[in-house]
Amino acid sequence: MSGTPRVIPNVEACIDCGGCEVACMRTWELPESSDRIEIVTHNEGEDGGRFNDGETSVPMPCFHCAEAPCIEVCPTDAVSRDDKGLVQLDEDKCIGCTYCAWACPFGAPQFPEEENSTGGAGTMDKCTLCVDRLDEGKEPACVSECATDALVFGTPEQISSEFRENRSEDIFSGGLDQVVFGDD
Amino acid sequence: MGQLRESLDVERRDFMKVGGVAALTAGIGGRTLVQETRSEEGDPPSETDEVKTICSHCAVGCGLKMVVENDALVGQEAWDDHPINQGGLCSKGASLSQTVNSERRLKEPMKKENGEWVRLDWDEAMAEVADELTRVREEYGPDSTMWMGSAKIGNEEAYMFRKLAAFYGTNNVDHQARICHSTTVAGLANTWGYGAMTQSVNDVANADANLIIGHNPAEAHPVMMRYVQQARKKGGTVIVAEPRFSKTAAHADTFARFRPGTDIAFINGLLYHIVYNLEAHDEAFLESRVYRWEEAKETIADYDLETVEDITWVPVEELKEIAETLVDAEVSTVQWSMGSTQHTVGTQNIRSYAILNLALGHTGQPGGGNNPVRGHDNVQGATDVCILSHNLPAYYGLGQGAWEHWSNVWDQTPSTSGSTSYEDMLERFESQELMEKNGLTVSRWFEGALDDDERKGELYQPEQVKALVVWGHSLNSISEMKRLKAAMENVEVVIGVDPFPGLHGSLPEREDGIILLPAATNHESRGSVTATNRSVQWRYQPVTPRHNSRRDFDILKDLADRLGFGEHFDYDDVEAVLREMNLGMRSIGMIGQTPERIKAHMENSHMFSAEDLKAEVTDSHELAGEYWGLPWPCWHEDHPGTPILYRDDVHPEEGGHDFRPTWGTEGPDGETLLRGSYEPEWWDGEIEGVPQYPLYTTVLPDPETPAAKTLPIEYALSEAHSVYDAAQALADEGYDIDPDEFAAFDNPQPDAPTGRGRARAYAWNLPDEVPVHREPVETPRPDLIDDYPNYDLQEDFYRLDLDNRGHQETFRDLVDEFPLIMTSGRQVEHQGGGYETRNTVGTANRSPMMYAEINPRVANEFALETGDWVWVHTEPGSMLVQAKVTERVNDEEVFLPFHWAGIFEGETYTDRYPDGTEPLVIGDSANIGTSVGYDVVTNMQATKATLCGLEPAAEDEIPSLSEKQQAYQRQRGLTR
Repeated sequence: MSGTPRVIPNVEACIDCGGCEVACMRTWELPESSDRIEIVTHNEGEDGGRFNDGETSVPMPCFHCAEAPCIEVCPTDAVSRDDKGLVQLDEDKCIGCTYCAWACPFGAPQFPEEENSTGGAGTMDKCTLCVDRLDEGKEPACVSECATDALVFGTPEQISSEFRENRSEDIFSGGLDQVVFGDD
Repeated sequence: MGQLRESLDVERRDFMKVGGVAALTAGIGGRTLVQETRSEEGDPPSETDEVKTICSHCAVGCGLKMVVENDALVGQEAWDDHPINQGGLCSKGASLSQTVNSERRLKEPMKKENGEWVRLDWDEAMAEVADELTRVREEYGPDSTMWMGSAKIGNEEAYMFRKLAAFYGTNNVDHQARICHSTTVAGLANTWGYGAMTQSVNDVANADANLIIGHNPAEAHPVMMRYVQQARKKGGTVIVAEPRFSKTAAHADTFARFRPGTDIAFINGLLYHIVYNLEAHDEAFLESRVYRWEEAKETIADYDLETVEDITWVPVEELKEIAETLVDAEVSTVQWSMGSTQHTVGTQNIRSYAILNLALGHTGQPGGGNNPVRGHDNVQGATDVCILSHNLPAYYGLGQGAWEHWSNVWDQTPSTSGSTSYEDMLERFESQELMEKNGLTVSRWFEGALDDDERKGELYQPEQVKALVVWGHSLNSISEMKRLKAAMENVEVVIGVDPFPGLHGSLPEREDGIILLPAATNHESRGSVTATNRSVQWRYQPVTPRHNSRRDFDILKDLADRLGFGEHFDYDDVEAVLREMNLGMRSIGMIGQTPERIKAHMENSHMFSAEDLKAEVTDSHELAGEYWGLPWPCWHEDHPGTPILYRDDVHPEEGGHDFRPTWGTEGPDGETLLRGSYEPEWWDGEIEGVPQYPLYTTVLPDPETPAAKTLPIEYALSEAHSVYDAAQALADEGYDIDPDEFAAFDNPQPDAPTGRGRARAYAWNLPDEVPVHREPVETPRPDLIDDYPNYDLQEDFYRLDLDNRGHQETFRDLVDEFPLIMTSGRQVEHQGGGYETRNTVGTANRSPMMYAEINPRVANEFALETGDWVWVHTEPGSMLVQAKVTERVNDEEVFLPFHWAGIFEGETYTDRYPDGTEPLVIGDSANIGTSVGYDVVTNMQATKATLCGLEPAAEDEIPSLSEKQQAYQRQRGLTR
């Protein structure tokens, strides 16, 4: 898994401008109700700085976890790992049971059709790490258009020093780092 | 689509034209069907193209690439090597293609007739517009038309707009800068010569200490935050001084919450500590480069820290800490935006920031200066071409000399075929007096259009305003909206030019007399645009105008033609307009930014450094030494631009500069306005203080080579010539000049043509010569009014009366009725009046609610939760909005964003929009309630310090929002 590229938030730099959210939605022509990447802001209006209970904005795409809970719980194997190590969805197999959303610690799986469908939640939708763009040698759209370089893209090896420097690892506390990065 | 057909007088239009079909598909993403190319630049159809353009929202000037396929806008890509943003955008910039493809755009010219919107074709519409404007001119005089022009069009179009108003014969022409940074321009120009940002957004990375006051760049200029953050990574300190804990405050080292409207007391408090306690002001700098610092020092003595704490909310210890941070910093900068400018004392606020920077000796160097960060994408450019009622392009003023210069330029320019003269221009005006008289402003034009109401004072022009032209200007960004609305109902005709129908179409309740012309967006057009750091960039044209819209350039040419002076507007292309600007805009050095040079930068962006904007190439390369976008002043076709104003440790030919002795060589007291001599490293010997080089603003080169050096410019920059030499040479050439006046300045030295003067700490021509605190017109501290009263009545001020003090007295006890302070500001998702962003899926979806930020303790008292409807009552009016319960505001204040419209005092008016153009998200308008108060130098409206009261709305008062908007609100967790 060490070669799997990820998009990791640099919370020190995120200003909740929404550039990543819009870039993603626009690039993939997603329905308005889909939030493949979403910025979550904690402690709005509180002073103290990022790691002291102060206002913190965290852009959250899918982290394509090494020990992905969504893969583990999916009853139809709709969620699986591709040849890059990324966690991808086979839409045809998805039955809209939402187990993956329950299992994901980060809320990555989305159900944009939920309000319109009867009974089920509709097909799941989530961040693909812009795998089509990667094939063209481009960065994920969110990374490409982030106003303040608050999204860091690379393999754990490539980004590890920056990761530690901006204390991104702090957001993956309580065992979550194991989930996301496995033994790396 | 069917809906649209019903309201149109169906003349077969090419609905398969990409724009029409895009209207269908925009809701599901923006991909469009293939169709034939119709490129105006004659390029052959291609596969996918990436076309470079500049974002059309804020003034940071971010670059991006539009992805185009057969004249369809199908996507965007990051422009990674653009030196300002390096690919980064915010939610606004990232959604630009959605804006262009928005199904809510105005698609055809329309007219309101008998209460219905009727479609016209362009010929009919333009004929009617021209007829009406001509009729009003004949019946009432040219001053009966108010021209509201735009910060959102290219430089060339903005210049044409200003010129058109001149040929029409009025100074009633103005634009968004009035309500944005007009007080900045007045404040800074009156201090050290130019009113612009001294550095670039990139340069703030060099600030060891950055005081961000009245500015929320995390939302107003998001990409700028990368440089603010870089400064911190380098060990610098960021101080945010704001009434509320904004998103920017979350990224600061120090946050000081101060009461809206008390900036000057706050700054003077800092200065008190710096000067009287620490004695850390830079005496050597003040001695040699500042005029009458002693006056400022004396005034500061009144602002001891206890007094300042009482006025501002900021505790003494915090004032000291901030002052000490600034003193300890190697170099510091102050940056601001509307929180500082939009006050009755706006001009003075800005003067106090300049004085702070001067006192520390931090001006005119990397990381050190004053950074007023401009708002709209081209408000800097539109300001520079002076769509301003008190100026001709490039700040020449309205005096006879200014008119003579521009008549000369308009006559001589090879870009148009017409001839003119001063006498010819004079005849177009009602009188010479009116030709030289400041016109009405966008902030208060409505006073000139209203019959008497209880607020109206005198009108100092022959007739009322009878025609309103609203060209790319929102109306919910202007205060006193109830009176604005009444004025729009009172005029005989409203003509609106915009990609969206906006409030000029929907706000006034009238049965007829509104004509709407669909303008193309900036991404269906091309031309130059000036960013907040004075860099000039070029937008290439990605696609042709969608629907039946037209480029502003074409509309202006057509209008000028129909108004009878087309020969002065028969430009071949926008490049020809820029060349005319290069010829005439001498005073600020908007000369060397020729179309070719600017385009060369755009095409070679990878060569420019994001650290200092300089081209990093070998000395022999064509671009060697140049700064990105050739920030003005750029004195001639080989000049590299001036990235940092007033920087004297660099040779003028390499971008060096100095303070401008705009008022001559001596003040009224006889003290010198010229700088002290110095010996810079780049010069062998002494450089003396000198006045502006004679006639540099009016001597023209051969008009065919507008960017060639003129005599005064050449002599100024030359190492071998003095001011006296220039005067003598000009006299020899036959210019009317007496060289003896300049005999004292005979030291051969290289200078910018603007000379080498002193910054003025004491500005004898302003209502307050040195900034002092004055309570806002609506104040929660009536006990302070007597010690700090607002300004007395001014008559005939931009053709109106202004009685701040009178209103303040009337409102002395207003706080009893309206106990909270209401302040206003921006959200990251929306720009200006929100006409574009509230019609764009990405931004509307992300921010679907007009709100009042309410502190949790206050909210509890009213049993309010986020999403609940609540009245915000103020003296001018009441707004019905939804609550946003947050710790951002303290329990004495409430914050409202101003981008919203579609609801007016609780009444939805989407039915007044042409069918199919109702905005995706609507809300009530904050500027219905902002206080009646205006800056006494520029007429800037005071929107930041109003008093209000809250009242939860009754069930039956709640306006209905569209299903879509309600769904967005649920999606965002704002309602359930």
